[in-house]
Amino acid sequence: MPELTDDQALSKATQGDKQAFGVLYDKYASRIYNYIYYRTGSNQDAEDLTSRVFFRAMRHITNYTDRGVPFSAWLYRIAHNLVANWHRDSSRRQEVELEDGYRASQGDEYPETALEESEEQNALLALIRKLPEERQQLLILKFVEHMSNADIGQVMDRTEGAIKSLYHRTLLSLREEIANDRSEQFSLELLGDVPEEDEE
Amino acid sequence: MKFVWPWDRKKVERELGSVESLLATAFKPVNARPAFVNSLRQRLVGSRNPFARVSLSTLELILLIGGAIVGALVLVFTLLRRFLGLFGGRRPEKASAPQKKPKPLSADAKKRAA
Repeated sequence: MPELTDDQALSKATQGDKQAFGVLYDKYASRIYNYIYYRTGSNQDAEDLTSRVFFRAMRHITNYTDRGVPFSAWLYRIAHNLVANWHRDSSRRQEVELEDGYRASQGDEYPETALEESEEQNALLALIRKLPEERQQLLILKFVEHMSNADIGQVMDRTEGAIKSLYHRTLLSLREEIANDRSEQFSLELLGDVPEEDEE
Repeated sequence: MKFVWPWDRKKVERELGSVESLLATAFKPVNARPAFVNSLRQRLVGSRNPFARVSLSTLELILLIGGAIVGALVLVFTLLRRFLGLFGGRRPEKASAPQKKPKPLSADAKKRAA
């Protein structure tokens, strides 16, 4: 199939063109996988849920109507709903350590430092997964997808100002959590002394 | 949210900056297994559509259209000929065809017959 722009591919896909849907899949599969991976902490679940997101998207794409919201926002909403269902499933509520298998390798030259960093990052990600869903979603879209507040607002159906405010509150609560947890996991020099009475 | 004293504000901002740095380090893009990505694509889109449009060169297109026109003409001509053959001109009947005269019997044959 010749190169299609996003809009062309979307327009064809909404008419039931599978090849056009394939073009959209190629573009968004990795992003959706990343989002789900950081929401679930498991490669296996990320694969399972990514499959479900795209099958659901393909089933409903003929009903897709352009309301000025990017197609990616529609996909992220599907992913968000499926992950929320996944979290509601009580059998899966056990804590899952992030698998390192496919994360970008870093600090190969200094394995000990890398291990330390990795432990610290895992501890931080574990803290993040304890945050309310919307805050997790916000952080992932901001730091993994590098989306702007306006774009995140479109995905989360909120105003840019609301996202900015939510982000600030999320950072404050994380700072507090890290302060509580820092003696075990986090580098003190990164945060310095964090006065606990500063925060709500 | 608790009130933050103005002299503490800078400190808080600095700490939030540190939290952001930690987050930026923690969230590294991950790569899905290529086998998974390919197999999911295959399951979603399937094999290439056999009826999908094939881009033809101009020469191929001319040959294809020419062949189709010639084929159609031959078909029309054949049908027309059949049709005219049924209702139009009559074929000469076999009975009216000039019959061959029997050969005269030879002398031996006449003897045997007698």
